[in-house]
Amino acid sequence: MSDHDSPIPEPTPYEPKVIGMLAEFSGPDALIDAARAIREKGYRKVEAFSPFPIHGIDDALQASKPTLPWVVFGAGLSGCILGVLMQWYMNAFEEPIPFSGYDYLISGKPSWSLPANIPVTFELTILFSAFTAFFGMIAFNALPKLSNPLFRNERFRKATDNKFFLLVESSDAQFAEQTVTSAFEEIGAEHVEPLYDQQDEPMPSYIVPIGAVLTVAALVPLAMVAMSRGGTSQTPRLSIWWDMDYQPKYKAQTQIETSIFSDGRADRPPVAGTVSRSSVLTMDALHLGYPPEDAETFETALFQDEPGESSEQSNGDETASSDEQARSDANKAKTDESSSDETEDRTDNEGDEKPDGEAAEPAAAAPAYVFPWVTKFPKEINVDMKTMERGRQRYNIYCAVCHGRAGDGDGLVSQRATELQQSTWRPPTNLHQANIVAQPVGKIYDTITNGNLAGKNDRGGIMRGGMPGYKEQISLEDRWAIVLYVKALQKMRTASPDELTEQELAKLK
Amino acid sequence: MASADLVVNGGPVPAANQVDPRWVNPPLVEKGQTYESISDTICSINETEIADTPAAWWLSFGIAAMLAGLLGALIMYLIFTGVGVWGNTSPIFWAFPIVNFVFWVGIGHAGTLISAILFIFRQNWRTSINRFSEAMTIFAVVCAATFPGIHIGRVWFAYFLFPIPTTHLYMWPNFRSPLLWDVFAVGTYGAVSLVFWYMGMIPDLATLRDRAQGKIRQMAYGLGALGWTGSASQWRVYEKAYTLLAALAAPLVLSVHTIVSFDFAVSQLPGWHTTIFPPYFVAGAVFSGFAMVITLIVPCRKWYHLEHVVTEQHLENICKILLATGTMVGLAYTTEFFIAWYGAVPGEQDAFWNRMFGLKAWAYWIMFTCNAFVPQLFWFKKFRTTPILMFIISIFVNIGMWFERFVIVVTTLERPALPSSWREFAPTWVDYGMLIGSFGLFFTLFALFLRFLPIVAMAEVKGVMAHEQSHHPDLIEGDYH
Repeated sequence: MSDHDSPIPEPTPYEPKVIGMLAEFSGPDALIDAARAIREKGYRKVEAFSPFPIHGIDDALQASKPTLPWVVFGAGLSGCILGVLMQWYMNAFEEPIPFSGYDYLISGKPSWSLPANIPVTFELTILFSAFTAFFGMIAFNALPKLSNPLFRNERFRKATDNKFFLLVESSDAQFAEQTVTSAFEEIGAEHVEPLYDQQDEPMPSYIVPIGAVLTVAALVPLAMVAMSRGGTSQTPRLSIWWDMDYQPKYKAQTQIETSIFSDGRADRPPVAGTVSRSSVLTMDALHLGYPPEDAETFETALFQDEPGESSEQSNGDETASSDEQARSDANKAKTDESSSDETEDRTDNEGDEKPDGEAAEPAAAAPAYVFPWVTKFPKEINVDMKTMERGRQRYNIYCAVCHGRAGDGDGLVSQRATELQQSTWRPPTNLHQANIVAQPVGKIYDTITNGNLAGKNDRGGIMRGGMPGYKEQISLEDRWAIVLYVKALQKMRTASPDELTEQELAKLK
Repeated sequence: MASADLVVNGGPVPAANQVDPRWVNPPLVEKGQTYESISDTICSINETEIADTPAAWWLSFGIAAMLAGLLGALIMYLIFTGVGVWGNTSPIFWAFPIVNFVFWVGIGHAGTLISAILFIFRQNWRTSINRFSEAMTIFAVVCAATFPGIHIGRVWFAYFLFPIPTTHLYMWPNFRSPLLWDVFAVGTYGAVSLVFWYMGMIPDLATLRDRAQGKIRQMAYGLGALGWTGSASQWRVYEKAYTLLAALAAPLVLSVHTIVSFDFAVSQLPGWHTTIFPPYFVAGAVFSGFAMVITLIVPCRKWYHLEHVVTEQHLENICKILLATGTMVGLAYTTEFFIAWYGAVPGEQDAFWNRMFGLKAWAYWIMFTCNAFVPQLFWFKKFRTTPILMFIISIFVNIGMWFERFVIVVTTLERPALPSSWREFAPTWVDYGMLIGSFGLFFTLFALFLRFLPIVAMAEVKGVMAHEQSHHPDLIEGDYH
């Protein structure tokens, strides 16, 4: 007798076990009555099945109320809170951390204002609750459960059509096939039969790992796209979409190969006769406050500006002449503003060009610039009471808020800023200081136009001080009108009655 | 078992002979039906062999699928060429895509309204038509979502609409923009409607599963039914979840078109910047949605012999809703003009004058006639009870409601505040093609739904039957069915 001869043992056929008794009823009322009756007989593990929900069956089975509403309420609350937090984080919070929010500033509105966030909060509340209601129903009912011993029962197929069933499970304490059957028959069941369990056929063990690998593999291309789009790289990046990286266009200052333009240039010269804005604005003393290099001789004043804007310590130096050197220096300074190539030149020359009067003030630092400011109003400006009146009006609109109505540097804005102790606030100049009074009209005009001169920067360009230029707000004529009014304001403090004619004096009295 | 003593909208009536028969509504499901006959009628539509599918279905599906293919081809053309293929141009940047979007979102309102609001108000007549109109909702939202999706220009960046973090840009959506509210509103509405529709379908899919012959059908319907057995403990949670979903979906329905109207109302264009827009849009949406329900259900009821399930009572109720909402819409149109006149703002007055008598006056009068005047025919009972007449009126309403959105979007944008920017809008063939194609997409999905899914909520209809046959009038009060 050898092992080879012994027959392979037959697999023992699976013997189904009874897991409950199934009784069939014909209508919803019969089912409710039967459910009540079977519970009265002491059975506790009873379940009813029907093609539609029956009102009253829960009472008969003495079932407890589902807790789903509380779960949904919690989800709705979380949706609401998360909605508010998300919008706050993304639109009103900004810190130098990864994935930080972005504090949007729109039309000067506050970065966090709840009314605009209500729609999204509401929608998220509904979304969270509704999905919880649905998935909660799935979870509380332990679905999906695609395999169920009930589905093996032929008659049970009618449970979703027109038949009603009661099941007493074998785990019930009183369960015995015979007694349950007779109990069911007693209460009017149309048919009773045992329910058998089924052989477990577990899922093949390789399915889960294979599924996991395939899922991960499917995500790889997506992850690569995300990486190439979201990351940085030293080499030209892989363009999945071109976006605007490569556009069918020519850049300025390049040659083009096509024959679109006869000169082969990508950009077009201005139309013949075009006048540039800067050529107008630097044409004459009316626009500049000092005559340009090639202008006719004009009565000017060399006025030395002190570095920095604190104007208290030094006084101005006025020399009435038409100094060609100073003029060329001013023009040079003008070019320096745009290009720093001549910086070294300029600093070399600077020492030489100090006017003689400077020697009297050795304490003062190197002068910023020496401009040949005009001392008389350009001929285009009518120096009369009409201009004066206009200047007074404009001054009170634009200048008085800081410099004060009388020019004492005590405007309302300044008073308020001082009261608040704003550390960044630089007090406006008192227009009655000696050095300001001494300024020629061209210099005052320049200050109004471009802001006050405050020395030069590292590259030799002109630096402006705390007062901004008003050339965008105030028209050319009005700026000169303000100059006239400022001059009148200043004169007001020093003038004596002797300077007036008899008639004028009589008028004032 | 007297069916005459059962009423739909009121409570129980003691006995038929005590009541004026004019006030007793006919039964919701006609007499002589059993639970089994309901299952048979509805399921037989899905259980027909492929070869036996009616020719009419093939014909309508074929045409619809061709048009849907046209939409797909045009979208490809748009993506590869650019938005210049549309007639959209400065200053009319919204034009057809947004008109179609608002139109389809509006259609999508009836489904959830029937499911949710009528459910909360215990309008049992909804059970015969709710599945149908919920499906309509889903497909309309699919059509609607397509348009803003392709209107953004660079379609591959559609994900910018969602709050997704990026690694090196502090870039988030601007939550103060009504267009972003729209993303959340329409997204939530689509998702919740889908869940609502599917959940209602689970018991019916189980019915189909248990009746199915053949492995494939058993598997397909079995997967869809998730292993539903219809046990009392399942129904218990199910009913609770369904009630909750209805209660949640009801305010959602109202919020969606409100937020869609914010796209216009929150901007500052005369003719758009009005507080009447939210209620006006919601009424219009319900109006257009119910018109589409009539358009779809009248032929389907005839073809699939569902007259005993979708009775005249149902149709008449829908017609009454159409009459009510049509009148509301007419009132809104008139109120707008009154406010423009009364407000005495020249820009506003000019915008409305331009609508009525301007370049696109014809569009305005089509809108006004179809929406405000034609539904007034429903005051006559003959129009509320004759399917063919209500079908014709519903077509008028569909046309009118599309033109309403056209009037709001296009005539306003054609006339911005700066007269030098004025321009007349001229749609291209792609615009028309996409509009027609979106109907193709809608009807393709709908035809597939008719063929493969239970088109009437069988479990709910059976519940209503049980209720009507019940001898326990005390159970009717507050009963789910």
